[in-house]
Amino acid sequence: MVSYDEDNILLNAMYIKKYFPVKGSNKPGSEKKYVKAVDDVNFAVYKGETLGLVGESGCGKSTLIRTITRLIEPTEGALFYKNEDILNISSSSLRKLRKDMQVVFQDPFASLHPKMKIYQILEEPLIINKIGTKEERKKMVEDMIEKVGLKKEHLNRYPFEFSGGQRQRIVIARALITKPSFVILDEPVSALDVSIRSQVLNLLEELQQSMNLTYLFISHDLSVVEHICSRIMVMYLGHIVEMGTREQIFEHPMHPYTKALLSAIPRVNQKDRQERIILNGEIPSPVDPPTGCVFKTRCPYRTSKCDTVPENYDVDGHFVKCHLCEEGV
Amino acid sequence: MEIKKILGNKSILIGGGIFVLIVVCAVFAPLITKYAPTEIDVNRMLQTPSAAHWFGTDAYGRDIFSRVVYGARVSLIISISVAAFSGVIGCVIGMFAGYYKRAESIIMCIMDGLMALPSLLLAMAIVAVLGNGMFNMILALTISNIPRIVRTVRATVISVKNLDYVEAARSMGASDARIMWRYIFPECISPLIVRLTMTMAFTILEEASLTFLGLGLSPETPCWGIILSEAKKYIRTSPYFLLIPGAVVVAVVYGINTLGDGLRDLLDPKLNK
Ligand SMILES: Nc1ncnc2c1ncn2[C@@H]1O[C@H](COP(=O)(O)OP(=O)(O)OP(=O)(O)O)[C@@H](O)[C@H]1O
Ligand SMILES: [Mg+2]
Repeated sequence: MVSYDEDNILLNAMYIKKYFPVKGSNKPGSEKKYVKAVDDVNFAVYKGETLGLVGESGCGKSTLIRTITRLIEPTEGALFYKNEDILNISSSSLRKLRKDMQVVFQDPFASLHPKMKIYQILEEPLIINKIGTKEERKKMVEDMIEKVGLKKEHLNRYPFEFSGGQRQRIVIARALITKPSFVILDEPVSALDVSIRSQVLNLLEELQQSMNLTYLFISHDLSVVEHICSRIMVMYLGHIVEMGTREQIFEHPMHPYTKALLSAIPRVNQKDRQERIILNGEIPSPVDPPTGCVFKTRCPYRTSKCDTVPENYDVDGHFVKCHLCEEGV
Repeated sequence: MEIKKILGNKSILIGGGIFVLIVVCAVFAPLITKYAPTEIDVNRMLQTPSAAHWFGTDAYGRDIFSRVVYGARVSLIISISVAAFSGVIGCVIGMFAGYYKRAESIIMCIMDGLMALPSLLLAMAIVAVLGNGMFNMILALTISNIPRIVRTVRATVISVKNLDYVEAARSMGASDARIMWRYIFPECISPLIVRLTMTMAFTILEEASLTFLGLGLSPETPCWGIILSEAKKYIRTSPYFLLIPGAVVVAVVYGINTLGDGLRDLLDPKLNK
């Protein structure tokens, strides 16, 4: 069982912001504009858990993980990994950190070098992190490829010779070969057919057990997260609007956005049906997000209060950024 | 499969054929010519083409065919050196300019400045300052060709550096040096080869233009610009002095450019679309 004690925190992200300057907006006379891809995001990841991050396409999920892995620098905020301030460490300790914190990227087609054989692809993280001799590395690569359910013969092939599901297994193998403790999975199954999704999800769960991994699992689809995550964060337009355990999110969703996402999941069981909320309108541009509550333009419960920024209400460890929760609805 | 593709590409066959022919002529120049290019003979001045002197003889009785063949040597030495030097230097600068945002603005500012000057003018100015000589000529043409190569390499680096698999390498902890060398440089090779072929063709023309204007190499050197420049006095009386060597220059430049086009089709299918 995962303990949610303060001293079991693996990664702590505080007030993370990432603003991208909009090109051409710095001409004299015009106001400088930013894409507010991630805005004031707070969360902790506990050792051994699977934390889900859900949100529509473009809400800033990938940007958030690129920020917390320091592939891009946050505009503002603090980041602690194993109690170490990782925003202020030397580039050599940052590289060491990367061995322990691996990313499985969104697109299994684009994230493998097209001209490298699978063997080279899997050996690369070991070489980069100076792990083992040539023979030891060979053994590790061969072990790993079998662990993800592929065969040694596959090592001599190029990425284009594999299907999407197989490629995703290779990407997973590459992320796990350095024996990390924290793995960030950016929509690991979105590019895959529904039929292979559950295979890959099962594989991820098995590996989590056997290798003692902590996952941050990103998806735009709540139904995928339901099976694998113990806690879930819901992201909208760069903000975390709701965060809680799986039960809290699925059984007592509080934010209208979460309710809308949930009601979009087809349910077999009539009793499980939530009140149906259909979102009207488009997701606003992150360049000009609504003032006050970011969700107000699409919210069916909008009131005059929504023009002010909602607090992050804490209802028994269930966090919601919505004025409706003020009275404890 | 690769060989079939190469043989199926007409541009490579024609351009490559011309290029190989000119290289063979340059390398084996003493074997294919009967006269030394500097051999003066007052008894055979200004002869029209004949079996003994295929391209005729010039005002000093020198065999023009020999001079053209030896001129190919000079042209090739210069153009290959320029391609090699500007390729290496331009590639290094271009990689930095594309990879590091901070280096980019300064480097590109200098490169744009250099590009704003017509490259022939730039080369003339450098030769005028440094003086005549093969080395100075190579140096001048290298400098004037670097900006285009930097642009090509930089554009490739920018298009590659944010690809997912490069970011994946970075997230595994790969150093900048490793990313540049293993992930980005290999992608630059094809556009670089294409660009360098064009650079060679361009250099041959520039070298001919400079020497035609009397800059760069001493007047005794058998090189194409000087041959053409000497022939221009006789354009009315004996136009073939000018036309035959001129046609050779045109054919060589055409051949190398065609080769470049063919290589681009073969190596860089993206560039065509
Ligand atoms: N380098 C960048 N420069 C400018 N804007 C960017 C940059 N990267 C991302 N953005 C913008 O930030 C916002 C969030 O993008 P992000 O890729 O994080 O979304 P996402 O939630 O991962 O979406 P998806 O589900 O499609 O992967 C988008 O509006 C995007 O256009
Ligand atoms: Mg994404």
